[in-house]
Amino acid sequence: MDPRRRYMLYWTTQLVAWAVYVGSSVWWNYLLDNVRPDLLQVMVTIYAIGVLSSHALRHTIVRLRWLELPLGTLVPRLVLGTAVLGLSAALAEGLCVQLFLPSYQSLFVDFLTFFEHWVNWTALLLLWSLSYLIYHYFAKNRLEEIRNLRLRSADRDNQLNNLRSQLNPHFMFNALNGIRALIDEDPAQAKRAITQLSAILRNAMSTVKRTTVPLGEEVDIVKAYLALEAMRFEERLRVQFSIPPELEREPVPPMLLQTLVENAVRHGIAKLTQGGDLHIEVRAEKEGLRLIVRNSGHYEPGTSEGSGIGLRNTQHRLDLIYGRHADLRIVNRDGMVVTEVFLPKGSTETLSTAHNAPQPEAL
Amino acid sequence: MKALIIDDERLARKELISLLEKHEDIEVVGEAANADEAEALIAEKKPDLLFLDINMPGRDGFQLLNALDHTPHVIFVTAYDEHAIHAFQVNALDYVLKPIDPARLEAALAKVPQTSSEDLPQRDMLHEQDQIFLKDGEKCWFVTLKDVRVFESEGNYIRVRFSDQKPLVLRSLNKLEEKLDPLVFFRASRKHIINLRWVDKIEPWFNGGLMVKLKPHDKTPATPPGAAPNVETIEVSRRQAARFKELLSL
Repeated sequence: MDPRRRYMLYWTTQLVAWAVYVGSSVWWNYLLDNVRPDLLQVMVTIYAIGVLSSHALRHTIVRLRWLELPLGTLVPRLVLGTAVLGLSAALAEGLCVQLFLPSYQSLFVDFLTFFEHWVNWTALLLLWSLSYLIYHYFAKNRLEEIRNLRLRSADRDNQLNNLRSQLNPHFMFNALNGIRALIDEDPAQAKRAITQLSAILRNAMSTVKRTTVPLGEEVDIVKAYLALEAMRFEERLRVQFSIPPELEREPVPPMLLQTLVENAVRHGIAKLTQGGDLHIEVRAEKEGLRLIVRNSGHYEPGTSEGSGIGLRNTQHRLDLIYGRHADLRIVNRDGMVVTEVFLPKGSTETLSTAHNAPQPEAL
Repeated sequence: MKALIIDDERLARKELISLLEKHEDIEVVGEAANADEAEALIAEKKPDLLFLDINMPGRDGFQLLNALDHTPHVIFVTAYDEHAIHAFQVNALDYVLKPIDPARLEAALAKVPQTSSEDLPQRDMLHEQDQIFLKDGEKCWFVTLKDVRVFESEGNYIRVRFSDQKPLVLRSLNKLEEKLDPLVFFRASRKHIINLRWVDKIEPWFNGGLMVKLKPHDKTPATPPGAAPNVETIEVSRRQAARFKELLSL
């Protein structure tokens, strides 16, 4: 509900409720045969004091954020607040009677009479605040539910998009098509291909999103992916790894090397009629780790459809994890396209939480 | 019917061949791994049907079709390419998705017309039963030449008028003229080649030229009563007018 409509609802309820209260008092007096010519003035006075004091109560509740308090701290404050406002309401009533309704008995004749009115006002205001709190309790619950639902669906959208971008449907369906043909030609290789495809699917679907994975694990996924591409490209894809075994436990962002390799195949080697070479190298340097992917072909920024988006996403991810200390660049060198990423040492742990996809803004 | 399979992946070609094995009327006469190989094989084997992958290294499937003078019937084969699939759907082209569903392949094959190109003489010439592939931006068409009324040159491009469509394609009118059947297609002027089957009326024009009025096509808008009928007209230059008369009197 937008604030203006809520405010309208508040005032309507407020005015109508007090009118009902005053109306029923009139009726009560009528039943007791207590109708006096200046009853109307009295009732208008009570109506005005009721509306004003309860409005003041609401103002207090909103101002002091009492709705956010737990019940234990809320109740004493509420009792005190209504007592104070009840006192002022009783005083106001007494004053009005004193000034404008001389035919009435003064409220100030003795303390008991005044106290009766005070308690009466306090009880009324307590009742009022109870209705107010109950309404807000339910409204808040409903709002929270909507918020939760929205958050959940946004999260699911995010997951779905991630999944789709990681799965690369063009690759998936081509691989499946290749496997179909392999079933006749080389059943053993078809089985291996299915295992490799499963590894890639499992990795893409793993729900536990880790900030970093050991390099060895990432390389396994890259190898599974390349094995499937080799099934399709056959002699057109020539792969060479140079990764020292002692780096296997080094932490790297998941799917980073995989993205670089996939780009190299998709935008590089797949475009070449005669195919090409792919070198994947990881080097330990003094300040960190350097990933180097070289592929045959020529890189021209902005020519290949969609490649820019992948690069931007990768750069963005690196910025989130390493805060601009990581470095991604693509250059043409010796007839090869060279993609290099530098990952500074140690900073992944300190900045690790930043990698998690930013939560969508709440309502 | 002779079919040619064009796909850069050997396994994908193999898979298609094994799917086609049970179709006895289809004889796979060749396999090509890229557009260049395909072009040579098409010239050599003259297939009636192409299974064509869109994503290939070098020239893609559409570029290959653009380079062909006359195109056999084409069934596109692709794994996942949103742009291409969109184009197929928009233009009602036959396509199957990888991995290929045999039932889907069956349905696509059922739509292939049963005429064999063997019946037609002189394959170097473009005949009116021949199909050409046209692509203008996102839109593409397979058009049978007998449906084309006019080829009109616009700079380096040719505007091809058929039905209510008039796509602009990068070709040369002179080169095209050499390939078109001269008994059907007539070079009316520097700018125009017209299809004689579509000629409705001929009137004398200035400088000894002629004005040709074409027959209305299936999508010609109805003329409101009293208004002048909406007729396509093409001018025949004076130089060509004599030849034109001669051709028509035959």
